[in-house]
Parts: sequence; C-alpha cells; structure tokens
Amino acid sequence: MDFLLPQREILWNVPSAVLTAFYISFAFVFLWVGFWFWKRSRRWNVGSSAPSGPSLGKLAKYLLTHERIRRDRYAGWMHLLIFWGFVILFIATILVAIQHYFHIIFLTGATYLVFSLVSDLGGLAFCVGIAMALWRRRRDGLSRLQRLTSTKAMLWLLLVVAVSGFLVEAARISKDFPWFETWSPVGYFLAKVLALGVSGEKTLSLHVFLWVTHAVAVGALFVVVPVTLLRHVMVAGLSVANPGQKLGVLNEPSAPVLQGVTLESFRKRDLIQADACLTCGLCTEVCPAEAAGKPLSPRAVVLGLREDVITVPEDAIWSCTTCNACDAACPVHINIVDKILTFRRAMVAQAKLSDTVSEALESTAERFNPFSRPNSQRMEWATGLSVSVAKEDEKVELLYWVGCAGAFDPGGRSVSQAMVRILNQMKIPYRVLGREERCTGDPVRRLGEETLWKELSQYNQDQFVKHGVKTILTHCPHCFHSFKNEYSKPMPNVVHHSQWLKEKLNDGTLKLRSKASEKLTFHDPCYLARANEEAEAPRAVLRSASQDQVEMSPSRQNTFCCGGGGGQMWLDVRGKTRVETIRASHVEASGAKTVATGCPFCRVMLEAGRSSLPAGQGGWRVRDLAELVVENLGEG
Amino acid sequence: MKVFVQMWCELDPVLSPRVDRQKDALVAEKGDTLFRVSPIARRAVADAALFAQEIVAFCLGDEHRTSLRHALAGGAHEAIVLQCSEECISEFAHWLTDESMDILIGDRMVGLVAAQAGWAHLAGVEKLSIGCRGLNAIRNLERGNREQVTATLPAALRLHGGLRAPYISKARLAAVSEDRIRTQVLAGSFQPLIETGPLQPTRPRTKLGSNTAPARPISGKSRLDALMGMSGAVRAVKPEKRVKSTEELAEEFVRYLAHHRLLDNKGE
Repeated sequence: MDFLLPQREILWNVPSAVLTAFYISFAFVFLWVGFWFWKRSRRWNVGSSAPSGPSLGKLAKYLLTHERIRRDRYAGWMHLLIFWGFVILFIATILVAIQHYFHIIFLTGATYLVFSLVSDLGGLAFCVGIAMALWRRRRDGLSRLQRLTSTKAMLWLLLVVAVSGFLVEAARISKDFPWFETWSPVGYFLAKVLALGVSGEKTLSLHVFLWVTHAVAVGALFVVVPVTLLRHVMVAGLSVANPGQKLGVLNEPSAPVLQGVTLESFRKRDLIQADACLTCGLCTEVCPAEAAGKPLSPRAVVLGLREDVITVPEDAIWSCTTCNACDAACPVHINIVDKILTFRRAMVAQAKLSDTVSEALESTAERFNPFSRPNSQRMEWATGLSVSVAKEDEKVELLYWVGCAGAFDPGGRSVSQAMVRILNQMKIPYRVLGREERCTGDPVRRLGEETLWKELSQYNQDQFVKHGVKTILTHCPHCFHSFKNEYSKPMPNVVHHSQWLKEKLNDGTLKLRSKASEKLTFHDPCYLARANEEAEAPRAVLRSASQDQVEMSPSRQNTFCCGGGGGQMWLDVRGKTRVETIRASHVEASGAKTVATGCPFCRVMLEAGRSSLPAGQGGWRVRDLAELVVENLGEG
Repeated sequence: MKVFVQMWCELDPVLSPRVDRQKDALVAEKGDTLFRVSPIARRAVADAALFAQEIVAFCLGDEHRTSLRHALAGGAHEAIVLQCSEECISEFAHWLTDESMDILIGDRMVGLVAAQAGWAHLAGVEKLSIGCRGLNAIRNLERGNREQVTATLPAALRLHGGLRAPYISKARLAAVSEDRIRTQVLAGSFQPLIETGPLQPTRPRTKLGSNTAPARPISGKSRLDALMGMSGAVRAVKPEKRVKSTEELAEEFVRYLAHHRLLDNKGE
C-alpha cells in the first residue's frame, strides 16, 4: 500500500472463500426481498389504480425538508440523522463498489480524504439517530409508540451494522495507522483503542471476524426489512410520492361499495399506504375521538388493512369526525379518513345505520337537507328581513350561500341573519337561491353516501351555471370546502365569510363603530384552518372587533375538532367524554369571555360543550364572526 | 317461504301540500317533492329478507312504480306493477293463491284480502319470525302493550306504523335495472288508489323578501291526520267548498293588509 497516496485497498484481508459465501448468501437475501416486494405488489394491484401518477418532485421535497416529521422536533432530528447518515453510507458503499467492480479508480488523494471524512460523519450521525430512537422506545418513553420487540430488535440490528462497520474500519487502520486515516476520525479513534489490546497477526484475524460480523448483520438487516418497521424505507416513498388529493378532500371511490368491504374496495394507493405505516401513533394521538375515549384508533384502521383484517367495529367507524387531524399528522401522508369512509360507504350500502343517520340521509335524499324539514321552508330564517332571492334565470354576481345549518338550525339562522344585516347595511347587491338551494352534500358524503353527494353537487352546480354566478359567499366552512375543493371544475370564485369580512374591513367599506372590551378567542373550524389553511382572516376580523384576544391551545392548523364534523351532528357514539366537552374545556382554560367561530356546526357543538362543563364553568358565550361584527356595527 | 310485499308511495308527512283548484290536484311548494316511498313498505322488505327465500314486491298502479326500485334495492327478488282496482280484491286474492304465497305484507288493504281468502290477519306487527308452528309475531297494541302471537300460513300482515325503515342507498337504487320490474293486469277495471283525505283548501303562502308572511305552523301529525286519517284508502275526493267564518275572513283581510304593507309593525 502506498503510504504517500491516500487510498485503500477494497475488500482488503477478506479471504476469497468468505467473499464467495458472502455473494451467494446475499443473492438469497435479495431474492427474499424481491419476493416480498413482488408478493406485496400483487396485493397492491388488487386495489384500483389511482387517477394520478406518483410525483417524484413531492418525494424529493419531502426527503429534503422532512416537512411533516419535523413537527415533532425530537422525531425530526432523529429521523434526519438516521436518514442522511444512511444515505451517506449508502452512497459511500456504491462508490466503493463502482471502484472495485468497474476498476474505475477515483477514491484516491484528496477525494479519498473527503470520502473518508464524510463517510465517518455519516456513520456517526446514523449511530446517534439510532441511539435517539432506542432512547425514545425505552420502557418509560413516549407512550404513543408501539412497544414491539421486533422494532427494538431492528433498531439494535441497525446499531450493530453501524458499529461493526466502524470496527472493521478500525481494525484495518490499526494494522498500519497510515497518516491520512486521521480523516476517518471515528475509525481512527477506535483503531487506537483496538491497538491497546490487539496487535500484529491478531489484527488481521480480528479484521476478518469483524468483516464477517458486519456482513452478517447487513444481510440480517435486509432479511428483516419486509417484516419490520424498516419496510417503510421501501414503501413510504411510494406513499409520499402519491399522497392523493389535497388534505381534507375525499377521493372518489373507483366503484360503488354495495356489499362488505374487501381489498378491491380500496385503491392501490390505500394498500401501499397501509404497508407504509410507521406505527408512530401520531394519528391516534391527535384524534379527537380517541381523546374522548371513543372506540376509534386511526392507527388500528391502517394496521388492520395491512394485516388483511378488513373489519372495523361499527362504533369505531362512526366515531370519526373527519377532522383530518390524523391525515395532517401522518408523516408518510396516509389518507386515513379516506379508508374510514370506505367502511362507511359499505355500511350505508348495507343499511347498517343508526336511526338518526338513516333519518339524516333520508331527509337529504327526499327533502334536500339533513334537518328533516321541507326544503320549501328554507327561507323561514329570513322572516322580517329584506333578503334578495334570485329570480328564475336571473344573473347573479354575488351569491350568498346560506347552507342547511344557516337555514334550519336556530344558531345557524342567527349567523345567516347577521350576514344579511351586514350585506344590507353595506348596500352590496347579492342574491340567495332560496328554495332552489339544496344541501351541498358534504354531510352525506362524509356519512358515506357518495352517490347522493354526486346528485346534489350536480344540481347545485347547475344552479350556479343557470344564474351565471361569479362569486359564492358562504359562512359554512363545510360548504366552502365542498365548493372550493370537491365540486368538479369550473366553479365560481368561493369565499368564506371570514375572508370576505377581512377584505371589507381592510378596504374600509365595512366600518365597525366600536370594539368590544371583553376577552375573545377563536375556535378554528377544521375545514377552514386545517383543510384550507385559512387561520389568519378570522383573526384579522377579530382584531377589528375586539381589543383583547387570546389564543386557545391547540389552534390554527393544529385545531381541535368541535365534534360536529363527519355527520357527527346526527351521531352519538358514546365515549368516556364528548369531543365538544374537551374543546369547551380548552375555551375555559383560555379565560376568554367569548369564543368566536366561523362555522355554524362548530357554534352548535361549542354551545353543547359549554353546557356540559361542570357547574361553575362555562361562563362564556359562543358567537359567529358575523354576529360579532353585527354587534359592533351599531345601529345601521 | 314466499313473501309478497306491497310497496307504495305516500305523501311526505312533513310537507305542507296545497290543492291547485284549477287542476284539481295536490301541489308541493317549490323546492319540495310531494311523494316518498313508504318507510313501512321498505321496512317490510327488510324484515322479509331475514327469513324469506323469495320476496315478491308489488304495487297497485303505475304511480307507485318508483317504490319497486326501492324494494329491489332492499332485497326483493321480483317486482310487479299490478294493474288492479280496489274492487278486484277477490281477483287479487286468487292471484296470490295461484302464486303460492305464504305471507303478504301490505297496507290497510291486506285485511280485506285476508278476509276474502280466509287467511290469518295480523295488524301492528313489530317483529316477525318463522317457527315450526307457523308465523311468530310481536304485535304492538299501542300504549306500551305488546302481545306475542302465532299464526298459521298463509297470513296477511300489516306492520306497525312507528317502525323505522332502513335507508336505501342511492348506489343500490342506481344498481337496480328497470327491466326487473314487470307489469301484470288483473281482472277488473283499474283505477289508481290515491291516499288523500279532506285536504285543507288553502294555506297562507310564505312570502319571501321584505314581504314575508309567516306560515301557520301545523304539526306533522295533525297534517297527516287531515290528509290520511281515514279508516281505509279512498279515492281522491274533491275538497268541499266551505263557507268561511267571519273570523277567517277577518284574518285573511289582515293578511292582505300586511302583504301590501298597509299595517305597521305592531299589527295595527
């Protein structure tokens, strides 16, 4: 070996018999991994294909930024160290293999020094990351993680691979201690330690032994990839590259589910995602149904699908509020709500429904609203108000979409009335559809009645076309979300009333005469803040309406569901407590005297939560943004 | 076990239909759908599906045809539109006997058919099952009283009106082919059955915009009673022309004044 030129002999001191055994056994290892992949891909292909192809750009961005993983700082750093450490070691191994098998000598001189340093640092980062993962999984560690022996064993195996790699390097260096190997700081340090006890010929034997140990550990690692959490290395990329629709947007089922749920009921993407699950439990940790002690565990739904257990308890299926907190939290972009909806669709098709859900669905099918009221009574909320109803074939510039809650629910009606007062005071020309309006279909879609949703969406879209609607203004985030993200394009411009009020306050066309002095807080509706990332507009309106605001915890995109989404207005799955009670306790903890919201369903649920708080609590009121604005409008 | 289930459409009890005097017909308010498939009929199909080997759904007249789609989607094997008038009860009973019927579930008419054919007749049935001695049923006798009865087959049943019906999903309805519904004419002249009672001749219309007139709230039950609360299905009757009382005329006049904004807010 030339001591002057920094380089090393690849596969130095490894006997040819050992090398032959290595090549043969690794051929079997790769065959096993390939077999597993082939077997699983056959299972994935049972599902229907997703309409859009995978996006490598999304995957690259995800890997570079670790966007979702970094939400948990510890997990973010841990995964960053393991991932980049692994990537560096993997590239190093590839470079070594290219030089060795293709006889292209480039790992010499300065290149070799940089290569040694970077490889060593990568290995060190990898070891630190694995140690962090093991520390997290200690007995009194993070409770949401599954305490699986296989996962712990896999982590230890990873550590053995990394440490044995360093020891092989150390044994090689300790033979001669070439000057340039100081560029492998970890290996050099370990070589110094080795030299204290081993020298001469023993070093060569030790090197062979360590090399075999390292090779066996690497082989074992490949063997366990398909059967442990490590499978996410192969599958999570597919999931991230093909995350489906925007957060909160349901994927249309490929075919109607008429009987029970089978693998064919799911999309290919769903089945890949099930294999990609990290079992990290983030979905379950943020689930409001789980927090309320209801029988739903989003992680269990995904893992059940992975293990071919395609049955979920009915109560669990109906506990979901479709708040999408689980989808937003999942580090590998699994659409959990979509999978729950597949089960709901089957339940609807088989008429396995509670009386209240049956009634809501039937009412929507027959009377076009889930409140069991005649659609002809849609304008009762406007009694005593001057409301402009669109005439037949009249062209409409601004359509105020009242929604079913705004038309029939007492709380929702006061929001509609407040909005009309604002519109009238500002003398803005607008129209409502009146009796021509029908449910957007959001509640029935999230209850699992996909076909009815399609019918309703088609009808409403026809109305927009008939009236040439330019802009839809709505105070309901569910309607807003449906129009904006789920109705087929083209659609008119859709604005939530918080955005509209903010715009009008900013440009001075809407002026408030007074500011309330009481402490206000804002409850972010899931379909506004999380699904449509609109958390700023309502706060801007609040700032105009009050001098004193306080933030609830959690809030904005991490908001906690009120318990009314996903058709929960018509469901009552019992848990230890109620979701709305938990949210009401958050309001209580904030110390606010008024909680504002921007959703008629949240308004109802927060009122219900307030009344369920223990005696002496709940001395606050619930108002919609529009109601607060009207309170501060003064006499107009 | 062959079960025949009568399907029919009925007025949606939550609606406030009015009578178009010119057309002499019931009219729904704009935005409403007047008729719905009877929940009791849908429940009958669901109950029959629990024990029957063959369920034949039928309706009397083409105007109830929609209900057969619901029956097929709910689990019926066959669907027949019967062209048969109320007078041809005996022909209807003969037809059922020829078809080897075991159980007939339907509306008020089944009592007449049972009497004609000499079958067992049970009304207010809540639960059904088949035992070795025939049909076991739990009847709701109202006011919380129930009785368990056993009947020989063939039997004609009427389900209890308070039962919940299963929801038939739109996907299932869409999957039903219209070809599965056949038509059969029974002897006797056909005149459609329309379940209408003495309808309220008029009701105040809800005016929109600034000219809103409050609608008079009427409970669903009283409206149903008014619309359908008769001992048996009857032909459509022309609403009798009623002489309005002085109070009614006064009320109408006040409404007229309110409509034309001739009254102030206090109603003076």
